[in-house]
Amino acid sequence: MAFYVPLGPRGGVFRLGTFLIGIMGGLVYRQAYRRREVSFPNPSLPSPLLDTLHAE
Amino acid sequence: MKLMAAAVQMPCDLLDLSANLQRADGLLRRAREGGAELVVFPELFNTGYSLCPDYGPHGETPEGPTLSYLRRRARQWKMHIAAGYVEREGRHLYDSLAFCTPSGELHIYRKRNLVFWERFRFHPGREPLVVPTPWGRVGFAVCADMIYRRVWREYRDRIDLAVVSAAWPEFADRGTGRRHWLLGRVGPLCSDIPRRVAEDLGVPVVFANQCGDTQTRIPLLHTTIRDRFAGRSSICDGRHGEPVRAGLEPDLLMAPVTLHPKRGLKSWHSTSPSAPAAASSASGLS
Repeated sequence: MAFYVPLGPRGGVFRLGTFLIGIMGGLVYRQAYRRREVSFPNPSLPSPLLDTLHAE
Repeated sequence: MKLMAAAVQMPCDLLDLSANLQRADGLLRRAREGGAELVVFPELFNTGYSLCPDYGPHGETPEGPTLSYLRRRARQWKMHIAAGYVEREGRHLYDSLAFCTPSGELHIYRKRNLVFWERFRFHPGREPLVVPTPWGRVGFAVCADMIYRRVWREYRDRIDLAVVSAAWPEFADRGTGRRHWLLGRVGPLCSDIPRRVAEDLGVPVVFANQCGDTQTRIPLLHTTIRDRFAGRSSICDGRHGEPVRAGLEPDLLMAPVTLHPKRGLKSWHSTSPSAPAAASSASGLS
């Protein structure tokens, strides 16, 4: 994929590296994805901020 | 049409939602006092940005605390707010950018171009996002998205303003200042690309970056750079004069920008599947 600004010869290395990392990363991500539960709880809103929101 | 835009440049504590949201709230309040109508926060402002074992427990649906808070503030203070966060949809995690409007709408852009460790933790988005607003059409990008020509080619003539949220590092050792051999020249580009885009597309660009210390891990090279986020957030007013820029320290940039919305252009509009649910439940905290 072409860059918006020229990166010179390093751009080619960056592009190749990003491609390879994309493959490796995709495999690692897939393992984590399979381990994750479909349903999950959201984190909770910090109470000091919640108080501020309710006060205003 | 003139619009007062704000770019928040803030450090973010890793996985400390409470500290980050409270810091953000103070800055948002200052932006409101300054009359900001559009406020942009950095990428992953609520969780911090670094390779951590699993962002899963920190991922949120539209009903989560970050988006509930942002939607409430957007309605309460009549602002448009764009902010990066970890989106979770079922088992998938996305490096996403939420756009909250005063009317309670929520639009979500998912980062498409994942780099370095990001692909190990996130699923890439597939679609650009253009949102019609009272001042014109807004297009979105997250960090590394902006180095790819395709991203801006897709937005050309389809947007009136661009919002970029980032956690862009310097790629230089913070102790010695020595630049990384491969990526050292990429760091400074974060101040150059928004200006180029503004001139090239002829639209204002609001770019908000993180600041503070970080560690950049590059998996294939087995490299960890002890560097800083590059800061240098900017508000570039299209072809109307010089950009307003931040330095490396925390800052709240505010500047008016000029939009020239064109009539009758075909605008396309895509959101994540979670957006309609979010919009319908936007009254949850009110």
